[in-house]
Amino acid sequence: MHILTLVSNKHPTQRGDNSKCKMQNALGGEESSESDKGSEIGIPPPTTETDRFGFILGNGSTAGGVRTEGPSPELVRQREMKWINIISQWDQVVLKKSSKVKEQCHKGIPASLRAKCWPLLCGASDRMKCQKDLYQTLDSGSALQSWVEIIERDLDRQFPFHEMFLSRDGHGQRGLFRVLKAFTQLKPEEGYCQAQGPVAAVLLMNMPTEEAFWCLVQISEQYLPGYYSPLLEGVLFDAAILSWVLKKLCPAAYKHLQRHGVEPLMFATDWLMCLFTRHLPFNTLLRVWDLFFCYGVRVLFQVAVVLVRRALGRGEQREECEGQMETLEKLRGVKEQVPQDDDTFIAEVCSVTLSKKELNKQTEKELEKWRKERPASTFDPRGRCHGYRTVLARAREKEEINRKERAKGNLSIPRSSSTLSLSPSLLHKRRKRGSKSDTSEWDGGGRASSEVPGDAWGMQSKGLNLWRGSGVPPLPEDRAQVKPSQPSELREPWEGSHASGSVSCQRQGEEQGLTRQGQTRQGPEEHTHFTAQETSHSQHHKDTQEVLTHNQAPVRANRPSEPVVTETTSATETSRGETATHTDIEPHTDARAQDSTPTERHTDDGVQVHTSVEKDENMITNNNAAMETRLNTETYKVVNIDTETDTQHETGKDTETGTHEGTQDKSGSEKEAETETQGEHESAFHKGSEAGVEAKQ
Amino acid sequence: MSETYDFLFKFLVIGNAGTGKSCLLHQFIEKRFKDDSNHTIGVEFGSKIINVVNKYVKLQIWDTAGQERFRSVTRSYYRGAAGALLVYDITSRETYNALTNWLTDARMLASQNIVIILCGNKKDLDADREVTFLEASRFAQENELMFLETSALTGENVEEAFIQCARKILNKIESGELDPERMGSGIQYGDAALRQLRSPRRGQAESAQECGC
Repeated sequence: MHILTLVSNKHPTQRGDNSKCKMQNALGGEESSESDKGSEIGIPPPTTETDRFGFILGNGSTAGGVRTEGPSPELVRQREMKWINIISQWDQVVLKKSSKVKEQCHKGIPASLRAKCWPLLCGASDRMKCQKDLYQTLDSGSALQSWVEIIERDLDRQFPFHEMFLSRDGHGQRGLFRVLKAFTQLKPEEGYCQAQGPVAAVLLMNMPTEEAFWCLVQISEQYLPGYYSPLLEGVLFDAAILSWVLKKLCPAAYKHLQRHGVEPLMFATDWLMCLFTRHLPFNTLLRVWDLFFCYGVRVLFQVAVVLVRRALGRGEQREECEGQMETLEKLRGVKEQVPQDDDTFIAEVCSVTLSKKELNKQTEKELEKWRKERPASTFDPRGRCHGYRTVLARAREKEEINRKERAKGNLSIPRSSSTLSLSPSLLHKRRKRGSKSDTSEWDGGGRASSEVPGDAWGMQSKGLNLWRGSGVPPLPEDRAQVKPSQPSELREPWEGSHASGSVSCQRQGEEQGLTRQGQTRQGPEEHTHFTAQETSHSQHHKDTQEVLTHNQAPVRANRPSEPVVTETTSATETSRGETATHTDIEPHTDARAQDSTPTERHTDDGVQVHTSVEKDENMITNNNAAMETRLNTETYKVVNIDTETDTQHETGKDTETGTHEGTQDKSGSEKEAETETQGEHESAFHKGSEAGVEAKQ
Repeated sequence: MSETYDFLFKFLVIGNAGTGKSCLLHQFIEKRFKDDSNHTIGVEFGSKIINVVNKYVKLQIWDTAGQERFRSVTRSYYRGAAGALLVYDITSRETYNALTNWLTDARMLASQNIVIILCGNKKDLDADREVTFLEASRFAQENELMFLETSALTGENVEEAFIQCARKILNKIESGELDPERMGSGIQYGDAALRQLRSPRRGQAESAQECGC
């Protein structure tokens, strides 16, 4: 069992040749590496021994440097079961039991399932599904020679002490080349940024090439737009945000930095751009990424805060650093300050009180400044993805777009989505999504256009907000064209199906009493389908796949046959429900609802949903709105859910800690041997969050 | 800090990606070649005290990312640099052609008086040479740069490059051409006592309290 667990930590495609790497499941073996230092040669001895992540032991490199064993096999097994359960009912779980996903992300995704979960969380799975052959096409196609050369030159500079990346012909370096090359083909205007190398490498350590490629795309495009683009605007912007975060959350360290002229760009550029790949012990890094895929950029700031606190949090530490250089060196060497125990570190990260709402607010402020300083810049980070919920919302939008396209008669083109991505008219539809709170200022940029369910996957544009930045509003015709050509029976109003209707009703109930949610959650039933499963981890993947296809099929099958009438009704219900749950948090939603005339009201209920999400940012014409409503109610529902839970979550406690604690507590009722270990985790967590709250006060 | 020195100079290492900037720094500080170096994202640091014309000089070296797109970030590191190693790869004309841009950046963003030494790195790969010594030497002369061909692999001329650059700065200080007292000169007096005087007392009071984390 133990061995199986360890094996499962390897790269999924690697499972076949375990003979190459003798796994160390005894600590004694790992410790022996400590005496060996300073080897500057990248060639390992013929019998390669690695730690559980694949880093060569006995080499001076501290790339892995992991001395911990990881969670017990039993615990891993249990978590795997939970994740398999989540994965198999992804759509429902995300809608209904999102806290479950978050909870499991906090606990850490089992190594064997990261290959499945990361792409799922960040939306890579969806894109892969929708653009099935695109990666293969790119992979077999040729890229710009200049990029090829640059990428090739960098290949052996990623994790040279990881067994996957040892040799030029090894599958690690080859995979890296393919992923990075394909990216430059997909986004020729962005090309290759060196910081993508380590990110892609860590992805490749955890999943096959195609998945890794799409994850990289999602990270570069949705999670961290502008981080790898030619001007690195995302990084410059986030450095400013980080400055604010530090000022707010570790004022003494911030003052110290200021006094010595240390700016975030000097120490945090690679923290952010490489997602800490070079600055955290590997076990901790993976846990941080679990959170990152769950919550997005916020996690990067939280981790940065923890690192700064660890380096400069104590008075004597700051006294030691008496100048700029000393301070910078301390920050650069922060890895030494990071505990080997990943649970401790993750608890610390989660205790950093930084909510999405605050972040969005600051983004607005910073953006104002940004635009003053750089009038020519079209950069707009507001549309970035804050984790899997945003991803899900966008995936829905994309599905709608695809459906529209198909309805238009594009069925004959097999790769409709990639064709779609090239369509200039759709390119215009690029729009920002992001802060669902406090959007009243958003029109500062002179936008006077309606909400367009953007082609979230239309990948060719430079920013999320091409048309905004360039002052070109999306053409209403873009959408108007769609409508007439769309026969109502082809509209596939699955959003109105009983199934999803009841989902929203249930959800509503849950939302009205968040605390009840956990109690009603049935732990035991989660496992029923899986009790008979093999213990082999490779089997899991297969099982997972099967379960997935099996479970998703019926839901989809329902959609097209649903009558339009039902759609309207349930949309109405939903939106009313939404509005109701919204009232205490966002009072102006109601005001808006009253603005609509009664006749509009019926058809435009979806618009209320819509407006409650996106608020003042659009001056929608009723025609457009009505049409969008019909086409996209589901989308907005989803967006809304996102908002709501996030708002709750923020109202509750300003960070996920509130929700998290709640769920943690509830998890007590679940039957799991995990409880004990989790208890410790919890208490660490509580302490952490309390500390956070105190600090805030 | 126990180390004493007379001066502290801020140095930059700039030049295209893959020219061996980080390896030069590593060779200079650790006296060995680093063949597994990651590419630099943002900036890396190194410092070393050297003895030049009977003065102890602490070099504070900022090793910058070379990829073109990082310029927007690395520009913020230039401020107050007293010296710079401008590095190209003798086996790559492309890296040589980019020198003018780097030079402009350095003079504009650091200071007009910044002392720059041009380093044609990878001297050990003479067989693949694309840029002749003579050609680069002329370029250096035209642009008032010092010039050396170096090898981070063998260590040839590496320390020399840093020392030459530091020596020139010292000369300029002695001749009065450079004023260490001037803000942004990239030069500080190394006297420990002097530094403590300079940092205000309230600094200590502040640092005594915990970071409110």
